[in-house]
Amino acid sequence: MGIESNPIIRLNNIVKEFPGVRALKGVTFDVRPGEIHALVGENGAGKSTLIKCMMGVHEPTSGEIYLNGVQQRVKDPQQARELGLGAVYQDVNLAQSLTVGENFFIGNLPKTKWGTVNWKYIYKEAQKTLDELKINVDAKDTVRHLTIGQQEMVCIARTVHEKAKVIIFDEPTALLANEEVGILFDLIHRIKDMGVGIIYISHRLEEIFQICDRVTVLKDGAYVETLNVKDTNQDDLVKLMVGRDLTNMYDIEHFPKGECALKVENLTSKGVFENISFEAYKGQILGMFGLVGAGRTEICKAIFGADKFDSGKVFINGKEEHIKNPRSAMKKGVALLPEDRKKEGLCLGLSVDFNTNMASYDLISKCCWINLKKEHERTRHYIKEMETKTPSIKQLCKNLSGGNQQKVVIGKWLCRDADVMIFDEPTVGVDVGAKAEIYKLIEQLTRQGKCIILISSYLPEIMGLADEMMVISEGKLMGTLDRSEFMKDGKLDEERALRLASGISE
Amino acid sequence: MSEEKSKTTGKSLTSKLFSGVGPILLILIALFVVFSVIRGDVFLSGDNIQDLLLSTAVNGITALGMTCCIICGGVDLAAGSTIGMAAMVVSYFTSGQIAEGGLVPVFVAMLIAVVVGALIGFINGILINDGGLPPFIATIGMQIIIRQSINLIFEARIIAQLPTEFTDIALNTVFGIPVMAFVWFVLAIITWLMIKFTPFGRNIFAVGSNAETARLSGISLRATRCGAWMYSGVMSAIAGILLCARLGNGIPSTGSENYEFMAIASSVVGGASMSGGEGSVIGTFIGAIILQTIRNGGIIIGMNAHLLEMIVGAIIIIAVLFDKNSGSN
Repeated sequence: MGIESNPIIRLNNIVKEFPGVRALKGVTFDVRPGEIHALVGENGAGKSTLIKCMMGVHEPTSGEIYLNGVQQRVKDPQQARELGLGAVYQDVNLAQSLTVGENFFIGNLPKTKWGTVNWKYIYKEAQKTLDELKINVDAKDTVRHLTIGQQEMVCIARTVHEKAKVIIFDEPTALLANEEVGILFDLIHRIKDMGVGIIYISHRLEEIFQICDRVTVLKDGAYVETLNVKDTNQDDLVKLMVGRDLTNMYDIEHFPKGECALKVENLTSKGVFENISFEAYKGQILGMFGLVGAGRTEICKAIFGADKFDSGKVFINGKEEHIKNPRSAMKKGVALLPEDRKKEGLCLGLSVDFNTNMASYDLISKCCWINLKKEHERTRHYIKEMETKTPSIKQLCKNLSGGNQQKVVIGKWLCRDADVMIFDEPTVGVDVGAKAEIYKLIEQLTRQGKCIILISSYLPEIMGLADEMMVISEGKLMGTLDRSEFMKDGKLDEERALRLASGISE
Repeated sequence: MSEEKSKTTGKSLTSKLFSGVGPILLILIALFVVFSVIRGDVFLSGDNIQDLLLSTAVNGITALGMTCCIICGGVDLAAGSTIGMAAMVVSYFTSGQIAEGGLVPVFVAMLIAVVVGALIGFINGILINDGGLPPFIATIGMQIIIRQSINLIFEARIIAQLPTEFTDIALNTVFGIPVMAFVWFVLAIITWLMIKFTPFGRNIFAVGSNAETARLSGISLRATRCGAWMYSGVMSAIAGILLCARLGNGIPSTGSENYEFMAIASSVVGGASMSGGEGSVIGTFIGAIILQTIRNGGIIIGMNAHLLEMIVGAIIIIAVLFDKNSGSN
């Protein structure tokens, strides 16, 4: 299958410097035709910088790029496309209101000899590629009506259609539901069989062992090592990436159950979730597992007062509360870390300082006058406590990496010292090092007697951390597993959880 | 890694000069130098400086309110008609034509005008927040409605016989500077304090930057938006009162000369971003002076008035270009 054949693309000793920072310190890396080559490293390791050098977004300070043995200068993204380099990013890059076919030819619509748009050609061509790749989407569908998973497949198909010889996948499974991941992997295998070289970037190390042939590790902008996947394992990779042993990052201390902090009775929102009842305790982590779209975020938003619900009761610390909006939930000691940190958790254009304090001015001001000294102190305190990497408290959040952005959001809620903290997918798109730090933080919070609700679609994470786990499917509570039931025959009983999540009752 | 990265935010002299209000301050200084060199005798005379301050005050005050709306993610295109309504209201309640010695004391009349301004702002805020209307549309609609209500209520007639106690505001000075300019300075300081030190001011930034994040952080979108537009309404009302004092009569068409656009221009030159979440009071203050200086100085050195206005338009474009470049560093 060409595993030992000449590489399609080779990057030799790439150095990239920005004012004051050496983002890449001499990275050498190659991809062979028909190979799936993983690129791993913590946030800030240099993965996206390397990719951007490849795709013509940045010009390397020094070093060469060889395509099929010939040295090339990739001047800009347009040239990268012409040279056969393609990329599929996490933020689906399609025009939502146009059809799939239109997106294939966007900016370059083929014309008939009369000068009108040749729709027939567009849809025929687009459908051909979709069918070749066995993607179950009609070229005439409007993108907005497709699921995120389907949209991603369309992006991939578009890259293949543009005759890419090297395709970069950047966190492709981050937004996909579990069953869609399987479909994606099949598609990637088909592309591999076509002789395309694939670069696969993911924080989910198990995926690398599922489909990749080789893996290259970057750390702090430097090249560490390239290994054959079959010659290594997750623990060793993590050690190379981080320089320390993180295999037990899910292994946190568990604390005895305290009083009931939050009780929910028959919470119902028509068409979204129905008769949800549960109790969450101080010092405990209650996990909420389910497939994407199961309704967990909606349930928690309703408890937090961010969304309305039709019936049901919410009790906080034993007292029934009628929560009308997020402000009143916050006053009662509830905090919610939203799923989408960029759209719902942060004001990206504002500073770390601003974002950290924006939900707790009542705690640092007197008579509507904010005490700036206290504000800065708090920001610095949480930056230090969570080891958030930022050059200053005035740094704009849009310039931080995913893991550090998440830490700022957490800092915002820690400022309120809430009794009940709901974390909605806190580690999506966060690198291994930051993930471990967030887990340590959650452990610390439970040690202090806080009640944590953890929404996660990632079983190793949720089963590793939670004391109890609820499984939600299509808005219904399918069951609650105690920690002692997580393991079966010495392994995580993922099957049982997935069955419940798929709606199969026990 | 963090130590290395900290070098990128070095506070060198050049970066300080070319970020924040540095560039526009330089432009203002440059303008003053140019006009002083060419016709310093007129430009720098006491009379002209007074005139400059008086004409900037009205625009400057309106711009303060506009900046708040822009930071909040919108715009107040009803500013001009709010200026007009306030002018007519204060005229109506103080004029000798309506009642001997005026219906109410001057101060009360000014208060009523300000309350009317606040009310207009409140309606704008509700239309935008609860009605879900884009601010552009909501305030343009109100602009038309208010302007026509002025004509309807006051029958499109000039209100004269305003008490000298009121019109003297435009003539008096305090500590050597015109009262109108002094009011502007005080309001600029108040606005600056508000957006920097009060939760309400901060919330305006949050809502303008990301309304959903603000909502999920417990900020009341309605209170913040209504507050921002009411503040703009109050600023426009004050500007209208001062303008009326300067004109000496209650004229129905007061405020119809593109005050909104000058206010937007001052804010953008001062660093406000039309997409929300960014803006500076000092910047708007300097921006207003720059625009008025160009008009004032330009006439003095003999430039064509139309050419001048074109230059003002070009300045706005250049200012936004400049801001975009420093923002991406």
